[in-house]
Amino acid sequence: MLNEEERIIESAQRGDVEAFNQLVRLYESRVYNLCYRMLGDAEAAADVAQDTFISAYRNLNRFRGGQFRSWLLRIATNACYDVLRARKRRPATSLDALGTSDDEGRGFDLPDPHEHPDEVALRHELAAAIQHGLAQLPEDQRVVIILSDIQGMAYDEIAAITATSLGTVKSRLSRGRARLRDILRAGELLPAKFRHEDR
Amino acid sequence: MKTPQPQFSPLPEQDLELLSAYLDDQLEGPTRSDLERRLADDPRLRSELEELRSTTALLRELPTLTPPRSFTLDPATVQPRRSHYAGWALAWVGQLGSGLAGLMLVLLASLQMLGGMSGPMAAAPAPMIAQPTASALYEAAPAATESAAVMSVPIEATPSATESAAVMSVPIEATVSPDAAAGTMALPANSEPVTETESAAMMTLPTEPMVNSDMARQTEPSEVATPEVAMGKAAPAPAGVPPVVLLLLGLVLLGVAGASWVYTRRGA
Repeated sequence: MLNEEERIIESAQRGDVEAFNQLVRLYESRVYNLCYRMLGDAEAAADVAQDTFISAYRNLNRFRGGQFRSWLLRIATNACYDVLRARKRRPATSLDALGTSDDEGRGFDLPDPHEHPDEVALRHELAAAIQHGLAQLPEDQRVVIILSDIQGMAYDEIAAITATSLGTVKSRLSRGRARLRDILRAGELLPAKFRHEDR
Repeated sequence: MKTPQPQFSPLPEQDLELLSAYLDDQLEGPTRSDLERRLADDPRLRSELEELRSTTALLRELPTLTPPRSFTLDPATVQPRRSHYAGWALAWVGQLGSGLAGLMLVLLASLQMLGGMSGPMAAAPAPMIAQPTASALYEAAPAATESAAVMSVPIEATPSATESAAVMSVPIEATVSPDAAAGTMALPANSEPVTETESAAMMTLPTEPMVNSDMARQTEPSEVATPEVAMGKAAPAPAGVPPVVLLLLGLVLLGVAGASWVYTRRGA
């Protein structure tokens, strides 16, 4: 698989757009989901994902081996940081994109036809609550939580994507999880079923 | 939806980090067994671990969203790129070329500026400059040797000094422009005819325009400026681009080469 990917990357580096598009198809879902969880806004996430692939194509000659997926996600992460920085400079526009919209209801894979409508609603509510909690985390903790707990990546790959050390990844992950736990436990963000009683 | 202020965990950060690593199965050896012993004894630590486990479980259960559109690139709209190797070769040639050109410009400008800034010291390097001239003219006409010797001593303003200053200034133009005859045009009309040997001497003189111009400057106060002297003094200045401009251009080229090198080395 990796050798096949290397072959495709070499073709793309020689200017073969169709070969590059194979890589796009392979990773577009992962890139889009990272952007969505970072930005909390489907439209902005799609734009950043598109920009990520365009940027990756233009800079493909600077990819010197290693995991292509990590390289791509690093570009996406940096692009998300740029958008978040721009939002901070223009706070009026950022309020629309804090993950409070009904984006969670769109773009899901088709729901299980056997799933009860109440369960579907609960699932959407929970997903929206978690997304809202993620939006309140500092960006450096948010990206580590997304890569580790949502996308299931190993510490060393997260360190490569975020250009930090393993120790930093562990520390950010621990603080991010604790903070998110506090946010969710704090009350109304979580459906009662998932709410822990205060000690 | 109301946003409550998060309550920060009362557990020390070190314990939180241990619990987080334990959840990911990242603890080994005595660290792991120590934590497991503490978990067995401390219900608060256990509760904390369970809450963190619930939080990560909720995150893992988040559904994967389907992108609203495909992000594949349209070959018609994407400009063809140069191949990997061609691009790198071009970058290296560009960096090396601009770097060398910049270095040469800086060196050239430095030489010119050092010569120009020496001012009153100009008489000191003059003999060193005059020596090759003298040796070159060893077999040449005595007039040329005399004019070279004049350079090394303070000069009374005499027509011959004026002439020597003018003559010394000529080769600068001669080195810039192959048209040596144009240089001889600066000679005073009443001077001795310039021999071929003198012309040759002018061509062999090293390019030290400022030294020569200073020579001319030294002679200037003691005499009424004749058009010939003015020309002799002015000759080096318009001979080329001012050294400051050369220096700046060289530094810019060096900077561009350096920045380009750093940019390409950063890689992915």
